[in-house]
Amino acid sequence: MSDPLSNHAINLGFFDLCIASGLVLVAALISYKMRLGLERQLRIAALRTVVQLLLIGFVLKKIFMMENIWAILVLSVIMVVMAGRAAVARPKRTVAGMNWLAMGALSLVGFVTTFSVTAIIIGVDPWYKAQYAIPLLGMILGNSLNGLSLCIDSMLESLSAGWREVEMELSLGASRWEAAQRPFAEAVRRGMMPTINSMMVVGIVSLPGMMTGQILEGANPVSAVKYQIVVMFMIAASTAMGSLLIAFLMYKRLFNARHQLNHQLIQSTKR
Amino acid sequence: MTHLLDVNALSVGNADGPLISGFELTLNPGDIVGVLGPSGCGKTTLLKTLAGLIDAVAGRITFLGRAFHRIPMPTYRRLVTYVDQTPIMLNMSVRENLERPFTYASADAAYDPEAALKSMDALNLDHGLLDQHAGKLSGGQMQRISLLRALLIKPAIMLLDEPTSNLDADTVQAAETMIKQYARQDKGACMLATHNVAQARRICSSIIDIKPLLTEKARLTCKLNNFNGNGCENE
Repeated sequence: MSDPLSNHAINLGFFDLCIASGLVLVAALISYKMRLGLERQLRIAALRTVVQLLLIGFVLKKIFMMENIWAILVLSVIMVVMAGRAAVARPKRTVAGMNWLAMGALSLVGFVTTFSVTAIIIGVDPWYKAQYAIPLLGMILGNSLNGLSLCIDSMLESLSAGWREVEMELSLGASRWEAAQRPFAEAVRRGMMPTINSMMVVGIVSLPGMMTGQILEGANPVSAVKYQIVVMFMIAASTAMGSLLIAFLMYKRLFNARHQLNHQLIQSTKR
Repeated sequence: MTHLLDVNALSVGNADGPLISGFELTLNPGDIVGVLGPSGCGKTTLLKTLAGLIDAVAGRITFLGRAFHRIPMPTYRRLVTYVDQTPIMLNMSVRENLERPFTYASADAAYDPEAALKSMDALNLDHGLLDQHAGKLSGGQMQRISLLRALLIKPAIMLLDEPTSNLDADTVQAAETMIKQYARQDKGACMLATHNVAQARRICSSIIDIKPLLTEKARLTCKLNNFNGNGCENE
């Protein structure tokens, strides 16, 4: 027998995927028997999973083959826009132009982190090579958008519920930065919390999806772990930068140069 | 002669338009000016505008001969300090609340614990309160601590918004004495928004009735608010 780790991944056929869909049927059966009423939603969700993933699979294949910087750029912009919208959708409050702030923060963070990982750490040539840049960017955006959401939620909540405290500090001679400091710090802390938590338990409670995928693909677990460490640190850095950046942008939006807080700008999101 | 504060043709209001227009004021050390008017028609907005917390709709504010927006805002607000009618305490001990303004970059002196204790005596406040959590205080205690917190930074002008609204008769007298002392001995100036005519007569050196300065809109809002029975502080 040769080295068991050198096996290449077993390619999945159409038939294998059909069997996998049997697993969803189990869930549907449970829902039906227990009258959870989730069959319809499960059916739509399963269908969406297949269609969305197949679609992205084809798109990625095309873009990987094209090696065209413009195609990569277009895809990245689409990813940033979707992530920005998702980040803004969840918080209970918002300010006008929040979409743009979130997209701005995510594009800067996405670019800086992806660049430093592909160009400096992994050393891909060119650094924007789609096979590396796109999945990494996806992971960065997917994780930092959660941080952004929590950060936005926390900051707008404390500034709209606690504007009197902030204004009181301003009236006693605090600069806008001094008055904003507590809500600001709390918001960044909230944004980073999930990332720090997941770094604490990674490998013990959860095996990250990417690492699992690599191992299933036949990679040496140790080499998969090395990649995972890079990914975890990359996510930590991008969540920290993203939270800090969005908190700063909100601060700039809500406090003017005359050291006043415009708490009226904060609106609740309709749902 | 340059006055402490000069206000000319001031209009104040919110995003929907002016509430008070044509407001004139000259303040000198030792003055206590009462601003009288029905509650909820713009007295708070006026005081906050003078403190630079809200932008004026029109008009000019001059502090010691200098246009107020030329002075760095935190420094200006330390000199012209607004005290909210709802006392606001930060989520920390009373002592930390009193020390807080001295942690800002605009602070020009250190916190003086002796002065704090002396003023607490004058306001019938027990020294033991210092170590209590500010959230545990009664409304009246909070209002006095809030007044004290502003007094300790020794502003040139205090803008007091209904400073005794939460106090009982005894403590009202203590607070009024404190305000008078601040004007007479410390050569401070005070502007006092109140709807209590008797109080204004007791402690003010002059009184401005803002009723004639109210805009039509302010009059209507005020009627509506008072009809609804809510205290109608516009924000």
